[in-house]
Amino acid sequence: MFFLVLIISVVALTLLLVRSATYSHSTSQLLAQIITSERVIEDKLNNHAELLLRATDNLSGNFTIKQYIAAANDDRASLDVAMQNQQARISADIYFVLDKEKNVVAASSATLDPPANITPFITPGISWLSLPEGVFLVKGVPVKFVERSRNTDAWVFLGYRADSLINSDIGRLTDLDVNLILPSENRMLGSTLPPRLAAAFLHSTPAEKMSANELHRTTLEGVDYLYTLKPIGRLASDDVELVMLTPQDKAYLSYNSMLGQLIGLLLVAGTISLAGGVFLSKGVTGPLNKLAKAANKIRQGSHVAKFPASSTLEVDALSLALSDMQDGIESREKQIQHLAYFDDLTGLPNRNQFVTYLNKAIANQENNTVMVLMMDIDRFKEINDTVGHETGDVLLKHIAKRIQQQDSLPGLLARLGGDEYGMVITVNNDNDVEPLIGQVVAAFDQPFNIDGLVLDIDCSIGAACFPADATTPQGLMQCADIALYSCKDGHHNFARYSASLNKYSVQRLNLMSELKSALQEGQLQYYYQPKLQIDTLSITSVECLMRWIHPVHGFIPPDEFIPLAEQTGAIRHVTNWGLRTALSRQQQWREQGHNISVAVNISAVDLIDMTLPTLVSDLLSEFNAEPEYLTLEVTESAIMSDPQNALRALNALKRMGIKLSIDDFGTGYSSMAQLKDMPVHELKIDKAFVLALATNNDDKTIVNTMVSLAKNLGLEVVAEGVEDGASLQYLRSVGCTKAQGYFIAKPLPEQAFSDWLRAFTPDCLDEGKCINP
Amino acid sequence: MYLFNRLNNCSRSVCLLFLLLITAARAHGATLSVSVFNHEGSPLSNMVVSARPLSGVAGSSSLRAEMDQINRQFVPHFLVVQKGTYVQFPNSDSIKHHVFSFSPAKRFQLLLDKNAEQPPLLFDQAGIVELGCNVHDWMLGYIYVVDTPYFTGTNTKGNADIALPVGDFEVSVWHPRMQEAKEVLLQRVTLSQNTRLVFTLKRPLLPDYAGYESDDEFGDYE
Repeated sequence: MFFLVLIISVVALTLLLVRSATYSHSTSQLLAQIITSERVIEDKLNNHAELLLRATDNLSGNFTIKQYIAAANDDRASLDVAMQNQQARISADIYFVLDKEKNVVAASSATLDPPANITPFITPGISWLSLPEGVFLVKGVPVKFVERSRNTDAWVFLGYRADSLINSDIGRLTDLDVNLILPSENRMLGSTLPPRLAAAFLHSTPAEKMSANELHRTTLEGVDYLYTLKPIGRLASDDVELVMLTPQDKAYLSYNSMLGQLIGLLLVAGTISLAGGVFLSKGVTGPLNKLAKAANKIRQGSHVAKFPASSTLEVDALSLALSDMQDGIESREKQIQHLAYFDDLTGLPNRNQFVTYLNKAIANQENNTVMVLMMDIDRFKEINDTVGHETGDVLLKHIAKRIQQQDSLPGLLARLGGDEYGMVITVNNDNDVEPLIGQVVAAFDQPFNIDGLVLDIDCSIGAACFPADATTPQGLMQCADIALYSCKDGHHNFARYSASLNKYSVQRLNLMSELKSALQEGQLQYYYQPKLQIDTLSITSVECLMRWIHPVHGFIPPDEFIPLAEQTGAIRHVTNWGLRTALSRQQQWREQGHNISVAVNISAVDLIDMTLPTLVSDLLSEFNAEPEYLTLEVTESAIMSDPQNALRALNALKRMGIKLSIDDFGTGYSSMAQLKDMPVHELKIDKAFVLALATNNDDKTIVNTMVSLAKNLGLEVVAEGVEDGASLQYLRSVGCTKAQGYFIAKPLPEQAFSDWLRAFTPDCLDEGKCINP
Repeated sequence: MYLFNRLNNCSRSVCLLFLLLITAARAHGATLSVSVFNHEGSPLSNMVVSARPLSGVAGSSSLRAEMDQINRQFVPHFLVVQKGTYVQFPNSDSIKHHVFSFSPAKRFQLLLDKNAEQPPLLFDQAGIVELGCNVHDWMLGYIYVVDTPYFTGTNTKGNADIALPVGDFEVSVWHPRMQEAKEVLLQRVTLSQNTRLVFTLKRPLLPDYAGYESDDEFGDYE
């Protein structure tokens, strides 16, 4: 449609432009033609004038004529006949001869009235003379009887009738109508027009003088004419005008026919363009639209079976390219899908597909049990490190194959990452679970042979069931994972999830995030357990034991959250809190008159973090505390994890005057050589050796040895876990410095400890009457 | 010089007449002094001055003059004769001439063969006769026919003295190259004593045809 409008607009515009251009061109052409014609006519008239001049000039030199002129008064007839002879030679229409006084001495007509002013007639150019017979183009020359004479003796004139000059010959020269008019008298002097039209033209001519070299219009008898005016000679004092006239139709004949041809041409061009447009729309636009739709379909993910063909090569190429593009996209989609849902190494479904499958299995189960197995290879890291990753990868493939070959296994096997496999098995009966797992385990019975390398592989499997253990895929997988870890701990091949396993794990995760806020909210507290100076039976120091009273989980022992804090880095905040609280408490007690030292447990991480000495120093000055009243307890194993850095920190602390104590001594495999170099003041014998001290002779020997050793190294010895008087008695006997345990007091909250401390006397030890809230 | 010699010879009779006239004037007359100036006030020589007695002049049949054809020119260029003079047209050239005049004062044609002399023509009408040759377009000559025996030419100072008897005269001045309104300039004078007349031309003389229209052509008349 647009195309059609375009074509029509172009055609119309072209027509308009061409019409206007052609019209003005035609007009100027016409004007040029007319001007040329005018010049031709003028030349023609000038030629006649010249002819007259030449003829009269000949006459003027003719001795006989001179003679006749001289004798004209006596013999006019001779002159007349001689003149008529000359007139006939050039077909002139009139002649006349004037004497010196300009009297007519001979003339073609008796009534001829000579012009008053002869100058125009004897000078070159077109000059007209009006006589009763009509208007004539007249030229003449002076006659001198003696050639050299200084006087003119006579004049001879010859002339042509104006209307005989403007004849059909002259009309043929120009193809235009030629007219001579005398505007002053509105008189037609000569015309190629039919008399009626000539009269009409005179009638129609406006009175005012019109400019030359310009096209004028008039209508004669209902026909439009164009004409020009040009002055051509003078009659007495009036201009004679040459009028070139032509019918307008005739003038624009070529223009009109050209316009017609152009319209025809444009119509043909328009039709061809239209046909081209239709062809284009059929061959290009249509297929392109279809291709656009096809591309849209591809975008939406649908498969386009058929792409439109076109006779236009380019469109066909595009169609082919689009088709190829779809194939490419589909093939890559498959590849991507495979990557997304399958494990590259084993070709097993990956975690994504596993989760999807599990989702579907849960959704589709009908009173069935959906079991999730999580399985990993025991010591796979070691195997990998030993035999290399490539072999490890081959092993993983073999394992996958082995399990898949247990063809009685219903459900899905997937590789979830690393050495971790997962299975989803739908079982009708809970009792079927164990045999199925047995089958999986059985896959590992035979050793794996990888290029001659025989590997005996064990696996661990954790299982969780829907709906019993969890109702979501994530829950099931987590439960199965928990079960898996539990069987690692227990060195079993297989464990089923139970709620008891779960609690521990979940808490662990939550606690990590809650620890920091717990510090701020005061959920962490110190319980205080006194250390008894055995020789004086006085309380000289107290160990601060951290307790986390969780608003939901209740009491959480330090064994649980301290390792977590160490892992997350929160231990620094815990230690900071611990030192600050202990020193603050010590300051209070000091103010209450109990000058006892406080012992704070420091983690291995604190030791490696070299900011600890600075922190301790700052806090000591803040609470105006004596360094020797602060004891830092470090486990033997904490020192052993990084002895170099630990020793550096301990040395720095020792130099500050702080007392250092090795906690849980006897469990950490420390060597005597290391012990010798440790900058500590105190050993704390682990309660494992003390609890049964009263009855176990081995323990007695060990404790005795340890105390002796410490003494010999110049160290004080604290025995933990003293729960009866006999043990205390024994410790005193072997010279142990301090005792700590339920026999003296169990860890007490702050207020209770304060009360206990106030009430403590050595007697209550003997009597077993110490306050034990 | 040849030109002058011929001129002297051919105008012998005229000269003789002049002498007679001058003698008569001295006896019972006065001298008319005529000065001719051009439009710029410069004297003009060779101007023909004639004085026609209004009382009339007695005719004479014995007056002769000659207009020769020498070297394809009229010699003299112009000839002044009293009315009634017979002018002979000899042909000193070895070729034929066809001398003619269509002037009203005398119309004639003469075919002048080399050795066949034509009889002289009588110029019995006063006026200017323009001479031409039908064979040689360049040939131009004048015969000035005056109705008086008293005529002469101005000298180099533009002066001409004519001894005249007392009486009324019509004094005229003419020259072929004059282009005044009238062919001749006229003044009437009643002469009783020596009188001086001044003619001043209003327009310059036409240029001469170089070679044969020299100013000193009339030197012979003095």
